[in-house]
Amino acid sequence: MSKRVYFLPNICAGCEECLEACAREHQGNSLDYIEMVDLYPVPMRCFHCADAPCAQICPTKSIQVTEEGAVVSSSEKCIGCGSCLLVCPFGIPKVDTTKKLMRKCDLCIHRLKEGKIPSCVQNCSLKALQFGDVEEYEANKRKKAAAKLQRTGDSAL
Amino acid sequence: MLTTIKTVLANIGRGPATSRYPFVEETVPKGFRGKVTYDPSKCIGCKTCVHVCAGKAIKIDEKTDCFDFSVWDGTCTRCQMCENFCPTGAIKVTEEFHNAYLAEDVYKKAHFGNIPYIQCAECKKMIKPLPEVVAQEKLKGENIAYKERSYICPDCRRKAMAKDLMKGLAR
Repeated sequence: MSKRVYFLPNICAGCEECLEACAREHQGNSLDYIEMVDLYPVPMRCFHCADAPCAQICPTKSIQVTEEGAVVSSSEKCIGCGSCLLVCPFGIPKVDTTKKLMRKCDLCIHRLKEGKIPSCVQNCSLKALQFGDVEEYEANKRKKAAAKLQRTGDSAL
Repeated sequence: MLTTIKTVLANIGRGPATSRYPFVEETVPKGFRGKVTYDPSKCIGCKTCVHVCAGKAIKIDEKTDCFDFSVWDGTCTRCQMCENFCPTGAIKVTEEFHNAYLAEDVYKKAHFGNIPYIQCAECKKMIKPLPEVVAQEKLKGENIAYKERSYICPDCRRKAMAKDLMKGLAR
């Protein structure tokens, strides 16, 4: 299982610091979104699907799934046709009509190669965004739940 | 004198070098570049053909509720660039070589395609549709997650997905 960005929406305060960090990394274009659901902010970014429909539909094979598990679009091959935008179940890709180029989250692939974590995760002040394996995250959660159960068991005795 | 007679006799034996074209079916050599045809059911409106067209024969007019595609046969230079670059194979070069026509037939010789946009069910914005043929050809297996929300635009889709995620959390 490759590493992904996970978010904990109940912690997110909607400070938009991740958008700023993303814009700093990607030449002033923020590739993330924050959607307001009633009062709660939900950070949205590319989910880096394992069997990505955008990579399948791409007519120029510009979108590729890399070894790191990131779905990355190359700016040289992209013709900005917008097919990926129509098949994405999450509505993440965005087409820059002036430059005829699709822009979406690339999991900060240049940072990953240097051994760093994605920019949005590093700059999230509340740690609502986390980077790692799904299994790792589940194991942590299981440990926490077990500790909680033990505490309640102690108080019952 | 003798060589002339020899050549004449040989040519008579060989038969005519040209064919009686309008009365006989004519074939073209392999790789012949003739008239351009356009299949609107495969077009994704990426405008690559407009960009590469050497004679500026291809035009795509984006309107509020549709886009119009046109190839002017008289302006086309038969360079085959559009076919080479078309990512979905909507443009094809045929082997038709009847290139002469009367001035009054100009509009009959041009190809027109009109592709209507679809309207987002939530924000009423017009979005470019994805051709069904291309989707079936490219998307493998059961990968049809987008179909549930294919009637709304990407922005509304993202909002709906965020709502779904919050619902999952509340449960």
